[in-house]
Amino acid sequence: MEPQPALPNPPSALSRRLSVVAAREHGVGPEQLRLIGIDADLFELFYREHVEAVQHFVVRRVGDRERAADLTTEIFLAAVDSAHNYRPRRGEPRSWLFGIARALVANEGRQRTRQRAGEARLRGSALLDEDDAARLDARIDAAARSRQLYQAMNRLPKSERTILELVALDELSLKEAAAASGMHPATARVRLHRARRKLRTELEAAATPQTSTKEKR
Amino acid sequence: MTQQQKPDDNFEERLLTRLKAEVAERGAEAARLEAEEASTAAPAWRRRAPRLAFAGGAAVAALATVIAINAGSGNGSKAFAVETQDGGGTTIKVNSPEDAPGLEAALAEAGIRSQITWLPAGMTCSEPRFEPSTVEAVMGGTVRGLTMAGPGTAMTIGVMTAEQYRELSAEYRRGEISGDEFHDATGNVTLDPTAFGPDQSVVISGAPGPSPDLDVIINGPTAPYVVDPEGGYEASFAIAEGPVGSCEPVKAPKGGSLEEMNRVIAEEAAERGIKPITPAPASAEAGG
Repeated sequence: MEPQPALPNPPSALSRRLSVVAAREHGVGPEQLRLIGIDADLFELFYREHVEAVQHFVVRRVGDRERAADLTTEIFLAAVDSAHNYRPRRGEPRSWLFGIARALVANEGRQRTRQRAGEARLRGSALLDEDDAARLDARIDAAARSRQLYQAMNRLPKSERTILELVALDELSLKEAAAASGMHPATARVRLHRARRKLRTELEAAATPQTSTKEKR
Repeated sequence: MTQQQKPDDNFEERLLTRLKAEVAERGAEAARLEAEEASTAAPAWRRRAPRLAFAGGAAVAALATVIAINAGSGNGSKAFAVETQDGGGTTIKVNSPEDAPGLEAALAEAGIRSQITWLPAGMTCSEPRFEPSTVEAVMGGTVRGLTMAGPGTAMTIGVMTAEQYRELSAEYRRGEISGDEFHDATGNVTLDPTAFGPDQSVVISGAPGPSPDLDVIINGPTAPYVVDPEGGYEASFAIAEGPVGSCEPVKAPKGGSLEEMNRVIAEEAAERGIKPITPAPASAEAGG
């Protein structure tokens, strides 16, 4: 038995350049995604397309700027690592990336107390300067309410929580969210419905007098 | 260039720089593995088919550097340059589509029978005039023909035995020569004279232009035939089984043989699981 090759065969020079041109025009699609781990040009296009969404994703869950920078870095490193395993049935590139981001952020919660410094290839927080810090802090502040919601989801079963997170917090479509979490769309819809109902009851039960559950106009 | 407005020195840009370096490193590693695979896969197609290798990844860089050395210095005629490799192989760089008899002679000296036709811009040979041989490429897949286009040395033919090819790729693997040097020596086509059967020969035809602009390659030319101002040319390369009829020049279809090139790329891409890019129909053409 042959082991799975670690990296795909590079395509010919020309088909590679064609991929870059196509990606420039239409974004990095499923056809090009597998190459982002070995083609710096394609990677750049992919990164520029998604870096903002990834940062928002992170600050909706993490309230610490250093950790947010580290996580952003780790998410893209993980994308680079696993791009060659990408298959189009795993969803569009965005769903795929959010799936990675979700796994990492969830894992981060567990790992936080452990030492992680040793294994990091590249520490994003080391790249932050003062301006970045201020900018990230603003972003983190803006996402405060999302983080509250994220905390509130804690008591939901994992599968329900996953889908609600992606739809309510990250504004993915149900289809995208299903792809990102590896669920069948129909299953995802049922779970989303349940999760919303449970969360609503929970939030209503926990609501303090000053927070009205709904504003009417 | 997709450059944002800001003069960007911020976290996102710094992170991008670092990540790109990481990716570039992996790209180099992938190219190295590919060369390694190519060298170990070689014996599989030892017997019948002429050996044909395609330059992969690093050729992008090579193409860029080639422009600078365009107008062919060195030995041979101005139209092409012949370099003898240390290991005994020969590399022929075709600088411009001129001096067909000279190039035929150079190839013959290296042990390759060939029929070469250079035509005026916008012309091509009427097909078919020979039976194309199906050739297995070192990088995998079968090739019946191949079209190359670009400025300067769009076509570089390496003539060497499979052993020499393997030796070069081993040197590359051991880090004794760079990827550019490896591709420079092996060319974008590598032929093993000892693998040719008595009835097989190389057929090359080509003409000046078209512009190697990738937009043109993808979208088709906007003018009937665009001659590349940098002296680019396109050349079709094939291996023939049996006799080769003489070239009867006919007007090239719109876009020269770029369509053929796209087809070959699409096939190659399909083998690697990459969805081919469908060329957009040329704008001026009326829809069916």
